[in-house]
Amino acid sequence: MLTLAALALAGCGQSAKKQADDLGSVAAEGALVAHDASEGSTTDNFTRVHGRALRDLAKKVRDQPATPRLGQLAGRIVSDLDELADNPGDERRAGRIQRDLERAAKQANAL
Amino acid sequence: MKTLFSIALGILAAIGGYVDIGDLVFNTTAGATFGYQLLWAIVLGVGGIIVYAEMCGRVAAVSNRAVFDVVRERLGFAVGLVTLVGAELVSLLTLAAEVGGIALALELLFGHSYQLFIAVAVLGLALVLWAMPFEWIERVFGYGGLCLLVLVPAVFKLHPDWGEVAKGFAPHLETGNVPLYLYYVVGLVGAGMTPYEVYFYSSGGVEEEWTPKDLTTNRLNAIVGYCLGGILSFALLICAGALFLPRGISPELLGSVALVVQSPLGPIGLILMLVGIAFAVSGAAIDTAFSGAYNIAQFFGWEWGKYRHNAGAPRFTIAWIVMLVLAFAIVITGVNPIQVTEFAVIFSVVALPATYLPILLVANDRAYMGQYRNQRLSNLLGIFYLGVIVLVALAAIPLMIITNMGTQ
Repeated sequence: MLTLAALALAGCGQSAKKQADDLGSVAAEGALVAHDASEGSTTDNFTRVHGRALRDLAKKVRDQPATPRLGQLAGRIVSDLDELADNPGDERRAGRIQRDLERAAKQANAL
Repeated sequence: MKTLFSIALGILAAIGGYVDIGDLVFNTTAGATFGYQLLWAIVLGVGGIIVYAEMCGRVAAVSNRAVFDVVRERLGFAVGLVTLVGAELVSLLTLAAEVGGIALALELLFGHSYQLFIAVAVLGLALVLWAMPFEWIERVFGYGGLCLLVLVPAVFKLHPDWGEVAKGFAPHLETGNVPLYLYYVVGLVGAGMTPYEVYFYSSGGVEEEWTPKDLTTNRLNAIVGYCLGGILSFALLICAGALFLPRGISPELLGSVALVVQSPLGPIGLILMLVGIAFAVSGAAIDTAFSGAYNIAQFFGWEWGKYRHNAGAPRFTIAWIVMLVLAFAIVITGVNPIQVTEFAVIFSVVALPATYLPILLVANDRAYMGQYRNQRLSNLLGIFYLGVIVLVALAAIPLMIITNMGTQ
C-alpha cells in the first residue's frame, strides 16, 4: 500500500517551478556534454546515448508544459539535444549547441 | 599477492553493496543537491557495515552458519518468514535494477540497443553464476569494479573547496529543506548497510570454508573492502558537489554519473568509469542473485553454496536461476532501473533491524561463539548501530513520501 501511495505521489502533476528547475538542469547538463564534445574529450557513443536520454527528460516537459513559455523553451532544448545526439563528432556544431543550451539554462532559471 | 586475493570477498561485497546503480545515482544526486554536507552520513554507514560484516563473518567462521540460518533460529518461523519475504523482494528489485544498470552501462559504452544489452546481461550473468568458481567471481568482479578508482584523480582535477569538504565530515545543516536533507541521510546510511551485503558476505565466508584461523582475513575483508566502498562514495559525492552543484544540475541518469569523470579526465576517464560501473553493477547483480538463493536455502534448510557445484545443491541453483528470470521479466518491461533501486534502498532500510538484531544476539552467544563471542567494544558499537538502524528504519518511508522520493 505504502509503495503504491509513494508511486502515486511521485507521478502527481508538476508545478511550473519544478518544470523550470528540471529544464534548467537538463539544459545545463546538456551544455556540459556539448562542451566535452566540442573539445573532442568524449566518445561519440556517450554523446549520442546520453544526449538522447537528456532529450527524453526535456520531452516530458515539452509534451505537458505547465505554461506556454516552458513548452517553447523545452522545445528548443529538445531540438538542441537531438542535433547534438545526431552529430556527436561535429565539434563546431557542439560548440554552438553548448552556447544555446547555456542560454536556455539561464532562461529556465529565470522563469 | 595472497593477501590481496584473500580480501576479494570484502571488496566484491563492498563494491556490489556500495556502488550499485542506485547508490551511484543517489550519491551523485546527494552531492549535486547538498554539496559536501552529507559526507558524514557515508562515514556513519561505512562504520556500521564494518561492525556488522565483521560480526557476521566471525559467526560464519566459528559456527559455519550464515545470516538466514541465524535469523530463523533467533526470530522464529513466523517473524523469520516475514523477514525472508522482505529480503527476497528487496533482492529481486535490486537485481532487476542492476540488470538494467549493466545494460545502460554497455549502451553508453557501445551504443547499441538497451533491450539487446538486457538480454546480454542476463545471459552473461547466468553463464558466470553457472560456470565460474566462487573465488574467481570475487576476483573478476571485485577487482574489475576497482576501475571506479578513476573517481579519485577526478576529485583532485575538479579542485573542490577542501575546507568545505572537511566540514562535510561533521554533521551540520545548511539548508532550509530539513526533510530532504534527512531523506538523503537515511538513503546514504541505508545504502551503506543494505542487508544483502551481509547475506552475501556471511554466506561467502561459509563458501570459502572460513574457520577461526581466518578471523584476521575476515577483519581485513570487512575493513579494507568497506573502506574502499566508502572512498568511492566520498569521491562520487565530492565530484558531484564540485561539478553539478554550481551549475544547478540535478542528475537523474547513469550517464550523469559518468559525466563527473569525463569532464575532468576526458575520454579515457570516461571509458574507465563506464567499465568500472559495468563491473560494479554486475558484482551487485551477483551479490543479489546469490543472496536471494542463499536466504531461501538457509531458511528452509536446503543444501546451498557454489562450492557444492550446481548439481550438488539443485534447489539453490534453481533459486538463483528463478531470481534471474524474474529480474529479466521486470526490467524488460521498460521500468526505470534507477527508480526501482531507489525504492529497493529505502524499503531495505525497513528490513534492517530484523537482519542485524539476530547477528548481534548470536555473536554474543557463548554456546555458539565460545571465546570468539563479542567483546565490549563490539557490543557497544553493535548496540549503537542497532539504534541508528531502528531510527533510520522508522524514518525511511515517511521521508520518502514527504519529499516525493527526494524531489521536493
